[in-house]
This record gives sequence, C-alpha cells and structure tokens, in this order.
Amino acid sequence: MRRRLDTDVEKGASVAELEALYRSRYRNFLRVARLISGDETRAHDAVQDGFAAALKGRESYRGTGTLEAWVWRAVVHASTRHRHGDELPLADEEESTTNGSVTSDDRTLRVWIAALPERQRLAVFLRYYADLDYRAIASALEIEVGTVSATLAAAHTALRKGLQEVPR
Amino acid sequence: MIDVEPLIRDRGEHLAPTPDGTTADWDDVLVRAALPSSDRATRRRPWRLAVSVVTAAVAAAAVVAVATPVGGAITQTVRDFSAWLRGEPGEPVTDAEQRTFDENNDRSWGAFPGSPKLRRLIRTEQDGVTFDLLGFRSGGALCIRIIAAGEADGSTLTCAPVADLDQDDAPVRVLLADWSVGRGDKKETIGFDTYTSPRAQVTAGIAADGVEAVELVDDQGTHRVGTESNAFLYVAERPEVGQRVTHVRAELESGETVGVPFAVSPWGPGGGFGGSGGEPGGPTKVERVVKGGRIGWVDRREERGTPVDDSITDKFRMLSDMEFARLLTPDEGSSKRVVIAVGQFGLRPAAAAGEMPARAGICYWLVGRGGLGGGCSPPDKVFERWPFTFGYSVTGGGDQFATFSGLASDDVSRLEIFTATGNQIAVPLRDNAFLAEVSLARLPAKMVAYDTEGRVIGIGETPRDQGSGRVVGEPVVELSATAAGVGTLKLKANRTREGGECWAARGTGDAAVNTGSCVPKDWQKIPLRLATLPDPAVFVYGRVRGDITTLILEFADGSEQEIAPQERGYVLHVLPEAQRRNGHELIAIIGRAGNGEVVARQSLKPG
Repeated sequence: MRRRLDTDVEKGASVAELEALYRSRYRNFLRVARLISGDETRAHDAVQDGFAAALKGRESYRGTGTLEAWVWRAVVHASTRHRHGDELPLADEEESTTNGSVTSDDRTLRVWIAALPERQRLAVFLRYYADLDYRAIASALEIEVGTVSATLAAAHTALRKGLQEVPR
Repeated sequence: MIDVEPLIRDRGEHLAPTPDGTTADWDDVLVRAALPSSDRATRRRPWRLAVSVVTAAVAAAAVVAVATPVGGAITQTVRDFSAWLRGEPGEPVTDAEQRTFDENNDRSWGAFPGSPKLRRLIRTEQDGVTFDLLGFRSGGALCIRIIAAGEADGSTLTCAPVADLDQDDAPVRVLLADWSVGRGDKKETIGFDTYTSPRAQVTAGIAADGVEAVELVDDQGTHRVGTESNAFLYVAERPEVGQRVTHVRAELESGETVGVPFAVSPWGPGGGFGGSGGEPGGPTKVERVVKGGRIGWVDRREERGTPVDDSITDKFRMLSDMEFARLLTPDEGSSKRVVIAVGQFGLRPAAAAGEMPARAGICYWLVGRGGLGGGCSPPDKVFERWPFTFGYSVTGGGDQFATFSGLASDDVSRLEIFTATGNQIAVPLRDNAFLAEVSLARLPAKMVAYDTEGRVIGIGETPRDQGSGRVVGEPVVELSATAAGVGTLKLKANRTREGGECWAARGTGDAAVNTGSCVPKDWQKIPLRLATLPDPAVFVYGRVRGDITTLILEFADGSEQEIAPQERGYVLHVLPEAQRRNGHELIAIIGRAGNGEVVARQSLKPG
C-alpha cells in the first residue's frame, strides 16, 4: 500500500483500494477484532461493519497517515461496539500449552492484558497482533504518536509488574 | 527485569491465534455499505449482478428482476438452470421408486401437476446415515426430496417456484436449511428450557451449470461441498444445539466466489424470520378506500373450481357446519390449493356440542402436502381492513419460501408483492383466491391490491423488526416476582449472536405462561413490548426500548402508577391489589423518555 505524503493529498479513497486492503489484511483485522469483541462471529461482524463504514465515508480520507491506519479506526470502533458486555476474553477459555504443558506466563499474560485500561489494551493489540507502527496506532486510536509511546510503556510496566508478582 | 515485549510476541499465536480468513466476504461489505451498483468496483462475472449473502442480520442487496422466459422453448445456455427447467438433472430413479411416488402423489390433496419424473441427484453416507437427494420439476416448481435412512430416519420435500429464478442471477438456490434428522447427544439450557441437538442437520439446494462447489459457513466452520447433478447437499454431523448455517457462497468454475441469497433457519425462543433487513418498495399510500367487499360468485353459490373432498373438510376444526365449499387453484403450476367455505364456524367439537356459540362466516384454507392452515371470519369482517386477507405461512423447518395465500374481494383486479430486495412479483389471482411463494431472503414484503383502473386500494405489509437469532451465553437478566395467591412469574434474557436480545417468560399458578420474544440489535419499532397476566392483570412483563426511562400505568378507575424499567429495559412488575379487579384494571401503559416526552403508548384493551 503506497504511503501517502502530505504533499500529494488526494480527496478520498477508492473502492478498489479498500477492497485490496480488505483482501490482503482481513486476517489481521479479524484477529484483533476478535481480541476486542470477544468471539469470532462478533469479530467478523465488526470487520465487515468497519470496512462498510470506511466505504461509506471514503471521501473523507485525506491521506494523512496510511489508508490502513484510517480503516483500523473504523474497525476498532466497530469491534468495541460489538463487544459482549464487560467480558474481555483473550483467545479461548482453554489453557494455552507449550509442548503439552501450560505455562504460567500464558495465564498471567492473559489475565493482565485483559485487566489493562482500554487504551493500553487496544495499543497492545494493534502493536503486537496487527503489527502497526506507532503512527498507525496513533491514527487508529485518534491520539498523538507520543501518547502511543507512553501508553505502551505503561502497559509494559503493568504487565511486567504482574509477571513479577506471580509466585514461581 | 522481565522484558515483556518478546513475551507478548512469542505467545501471540497462543493468546490470539491468527484466523484462517475463510470468512472474508467483500460482497457482504458492499451490501452493508449499501452502495449503489454503479459504485462497485468493476469485475468480470458470468452473472450481471453482485449477489449478497442475506441473513437475519445483514442489510438487503438491490436486485434487479431479469425477464427470462419460463416455459415454452428453453434454450440451453452455459451457466443457467436449464437442466432443471427441462426436468433433467441427475439420473432417473428406479421404476419402483417412481411408482411409489406416483401413487402417493395421486392420493395427495396437493398433488404435483404434470406427472413429475423423479431424478436421483446425490447420495452420501455420514455417521451411519444414508442421505438421498432426489429432485424433480413440476409445473412452476423445482423440488427436492431428501430421504435419510439408517441410524436416523426421516424425509422431507420442499420446492422453489421457477419464477424465483427470474428474480435475480444467483447461481445457487438454497431450498432447505438446517433440516434436523434424528436425535443427538448435546444439550443446552436456554432460558427455561433444555434443548437437545439433532444427530444431523441438512442444508441443500440446486445449482446452475458452472458452479463448482458451494461453501457453507456454520458454527463448526466453513465447509465446501462439491456440486453434483446441479445440486448440493451439506450434512452437519452431530451439530451443536442451535447450530445454523449463516452464510452460503457459490464457487464458480472460473475460480470466483459469489454470495448466495439465503435466510438463516430460525431457532430457539422467539426465533423468527428476520429476512433481509431492508424495506420493500412499491406504493406507500392507498389511493381509493374500499371496505366491506364481497365475493359475488360465493354469494351466488356458483360451482367454481372443484368440489372439496371430505378428507379435507374433516380437518377443518373451525368449521362446525359447512354449507358450501370449493377447492380453487390460483396457480396451475403449483401443487397448493385454496379452499373457500361458507357455514357456521366455531371450534369443534365444543361448537357442535353447543358448548360455545357458532357463528356464520366465510373460511379459507391453504391446502398442500404439508397440511392445511387458515381461518374463518364473519362475512362482514373478511374484508374489513383490506380488500384481501393478508398473511403468509412457512411449511416446515428449514423451508426457504413463504407462501402468501388467501382471498381477495371483487374490488381487486390484481395483486403485486414488493420485496425488500427490489423485486416486484405479480401474484396469481383466480376466482378471488391468490397464491404466491416468495423467498424468505427477500422479506420484508408488501402486498398491494389494485382496482380495475390501476388505483391502489389496499396495502398489507409483513412484520419488520422481529428480531431473531441464535441465543448465546449466560442470561444477562434474570427477574422473578410473586403475587400471593396468584403465582410466580420469571423472566430470563439472553443476548443473540447477531447482537439482539431474546427473553423468555415462565409462570406458575394463574400466571402460567410459556412465552418469549426477541428484538434485533437496532431496535426501532414498537418501543413498548409488554404483556400482562392474567385477566384482569396482576403482572406486567416484557421489555421497553432504551430511551424509555419511565412507565405510566393507567387504570380504568382513572388512577395512575409510575414505575421505572429495570435492568436493560426489562419489566417484571406486580400491580397493587387494588388495581387487580374489574373497574380498576390496567388499561394502558405510556412510556416516557428522560425529558418527559411520550415515546409510545400501549393500549391493553381492544377497540
């Protein structure tokens, strides 16, 4: 996806561009949407609704930031709307395993990510499970780039604290 | 100090597995964005239209009717349904099988016209059960019959009107969705009831030439079944309770995938046909008001149609003394018939025994292979509201078509159905009886009656905003209330997978009830959904829309009581004892918004 420069801002995004983005990055969008909304069906609806919103508002895309980051904003909003109440599961309820054994780090990580304040949790999802850079995260969460850095740092601190507190 | 970044990344696939992406559906995105077809990216397609997958939760696609000749000379073209139109898919069945079908058909009230020839299309064996998919064309219908035998048995037959092929270019038609076979071993409690899964669920339909395979998405994932003899058959083995196919796509020989219009089979408490979610077109205003119409030939007792067999009239429980009856065929291409009868109606045997009054009336029934259904009205009430009797029915579980049928007064010259998917369907009307079959995926719909001068004289619309969907998760609300000497009423609500909510009410004693209802995610219409029990009311229960913060209960003696909805807008309220007797009973409920504005009023008394 070509990165748009501020000097060549065009009005709007095309349907073809959005379709290409959808087809190439659907799995990433779905993965994060599932983390936010709680299950795959709601996640699929969130991705579909997010892209539909982007399609309907495509003429408002001004080219500041990548198109993908701009669409992420819509998908994150839609995922939050589709979230099941206050429940914030991470993957399935069964324990994750490594070579047949459950790791305490998995359990703790899951619990502590779920316990993060929403902005920190969303930043973690977009950073590590959507592979977005700080600028794209800033666009998706509608915050400053510097705030992304601070938000992730706070999340890392909370997670580190949580892992250190777990009896080993 | 623990470095958490590598930990988050390394454990990523365990904590957040990357999905396989098979649910990607760009066509669905276009539908949700409600883009006009001119805005859609140009693509090479064997069919002219982008077709959406329509479920209870998805907005409608705009579909343009295509004028295609039906009957007469059928010219074979690539990628069409001509094999079906000629009645030639698959292979002929054995002589014995054809003979058995012919004998049963001859005995049936709703015999298929034209001596249809049965064809064997697909046979598959799964989990100890053999499934045979047979098909045939009969007049204006394409039909499939599924027979399950082995460790579970059952059979079903369903048809689609040939005219439906003209309504859009979808290369696949789902004729049956999630038909249950046998009994499984999975149980789930939803609301107050425990449901058991079937052993298998069958989804099947027909396919045009050029369709390589059909993809179906359900709770167990995405499944690909190859087409055979211009048909497809998907068997979900040992499904979960309430499992449903939610998306269907056709894979073409070219490699392209297109969505297929389809209505998710309803299930569970309050489950209804959500349809396409759009709005039908067509006229919105009656141009000439007509009331109290008549059917002249019935008044004169003319012998139109054919006589009605006793085997049919014996089934009419509402008719206690029949004076006149005729079997009518509004559509020669359909196996379904309409019966019109005149006599005394009242529920047998109570009416015959004089235990309840019988009244003079006109009755009509839709008669078909699935049974019959209809009703009776006093002669001056039949056409009181519209110049036609408006209603539709669905024959069996998994059926994909609704049958609109009934009577039209002499004021009606023609009828049309407008659907939410942009179709305009001429309704067969003959001897004042009408009958039309419309795909559930095209609802909601509007039936419009015109007089001889083309003026609109009646508009009837199917319900919207019914809500439906698969109830998931633990209850989000549980309420209970007891009225001493009357009984206890409980209410449970669950979310649905589609984003709405369904609730069930169960009561004891004089509050005995077993009922439920649903609202969709975007609840707009009918903001007060309340009911009372018993009569005079003691309990008020149900749900109100989120913008309603106060309820005013109005009583017959002029007094009022103000209450607030409970959690999530649910209501379960016990009325004061003084308001539970005649003359002081509850007569209306008003819902007010936070600013005091009246949002809605629900009257509890007729008239």
